[in-house]
Amino acid sequence: MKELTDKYWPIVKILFIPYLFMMFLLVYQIDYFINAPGGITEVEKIISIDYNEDKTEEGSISSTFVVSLSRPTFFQFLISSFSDYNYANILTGNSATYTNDEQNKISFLDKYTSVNEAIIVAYQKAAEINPEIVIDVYQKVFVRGKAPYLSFYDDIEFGDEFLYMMGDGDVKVEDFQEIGNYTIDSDSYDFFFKNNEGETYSRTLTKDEEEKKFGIVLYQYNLVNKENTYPTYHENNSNIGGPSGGLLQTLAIYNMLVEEDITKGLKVAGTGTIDIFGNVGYIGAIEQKIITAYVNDVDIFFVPHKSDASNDDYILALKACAKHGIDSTDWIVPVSTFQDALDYLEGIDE
Amino acid sequence: MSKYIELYSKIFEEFSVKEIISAIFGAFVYTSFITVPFVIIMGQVISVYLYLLTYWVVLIIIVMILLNYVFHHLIKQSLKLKHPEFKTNINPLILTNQIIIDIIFVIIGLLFLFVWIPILMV
Repeated sequence: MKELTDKYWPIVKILFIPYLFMMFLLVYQIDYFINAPGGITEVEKIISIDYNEDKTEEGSISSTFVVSLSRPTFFQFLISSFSDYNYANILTGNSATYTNDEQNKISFLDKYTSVNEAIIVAYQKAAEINPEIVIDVYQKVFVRGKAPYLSFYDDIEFGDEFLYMMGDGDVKVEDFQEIGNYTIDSDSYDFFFKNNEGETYSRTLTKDEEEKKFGIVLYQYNLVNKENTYPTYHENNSNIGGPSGGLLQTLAIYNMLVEEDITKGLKVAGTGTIDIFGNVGYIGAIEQKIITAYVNDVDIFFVPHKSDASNDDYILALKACAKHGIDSTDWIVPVSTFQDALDYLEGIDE
Repeated sequence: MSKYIELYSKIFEEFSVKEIISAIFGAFVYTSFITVPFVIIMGQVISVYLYLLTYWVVLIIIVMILLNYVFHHLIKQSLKLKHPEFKTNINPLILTNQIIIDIIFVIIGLLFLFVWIPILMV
């Protein structure tokens, strides 16, 4: 060690400052976000159903994911600017107040609830032609957002279940939409939650003096009651979060339940959230998703289309194709519902 | 194989265990000065250009082979600096060790490409 140090010390001295500067660029984070192309994931790797197991699918149905980096390092920001495929901007809104860890938790909550909605829609649709298929749905309310002024901010986690709160006149309020009507007389109320470990806990939440709100965002989600659902399904662990795979998950699950192969031997991908009524919702980073699908040689790419507004995903997708010289003809398919996607696939000649 | 063992015994005759460990440790520390930022840089490049992951894995394998060369070169240098009078040609020994480690790097890289990445990208 000593001999090497003696020999290389002059070089080490010269490189020391540039080395420290380089390390600074590699660790210093900036308040920006970067969206970059990611990859595609076959839905059957995430969800499997104990049904039609002899069926062979000639094509595939995949959801598309992009890389979303919040607070990248200066180096990431720098190298990202070399590619026209990437998009970087200043963090705003909730993304600016939430830590990366919190954003991950929200992302995986969205993924979990999105998969549930996809299963519900696919099972309900398949049940129309096969009465053997049964789905049972129930609702739960989860913590989806927290304002910086929320009391006990660190105790209440994203994804904790809201059970009830004790409102004015000691009324037990279980319907989260009624909270406003029962929190008039005082500023502090007891809220009851259940965490991921199944433990029930309560916290006294106080309204913010300026905002006059508790600072907690609650969402009601539709979940599958597995006990009363047939056929049974299994979810594998996934490293990719977010709700944007909803439409494609619904299509893939439906394909697992019906006898025919709706893929018609094609590599089907796309993006778009799904709600319990089968409506397809907008997603972010459409440009990066288009590029991801393009570099992965996808045959059909479904994109949400709800209006002709300039911020409509389909309109943005066409702009992205024009920008990057991609021919969108017969490749990008606009859909507003799950049924639209199904009709399109059924209309394809084998 | 016998030449390989013979070279090892010559080194152990000439150098004490402490000197050999010191040479390996020195080479490891100086190689780490290059490896640590390289690993961080590659991690960050991959995160921004994930869709080119296959190319990055190939590049990582190549760079790991180069770093392995640097590591073994520094061990050789360190041993020479400790005993300048040691004239035995240890290049075949160094090269053999290097090739064995390179093969391990290639196997790990291929495992990443064909097994672990498809599992992780779900």
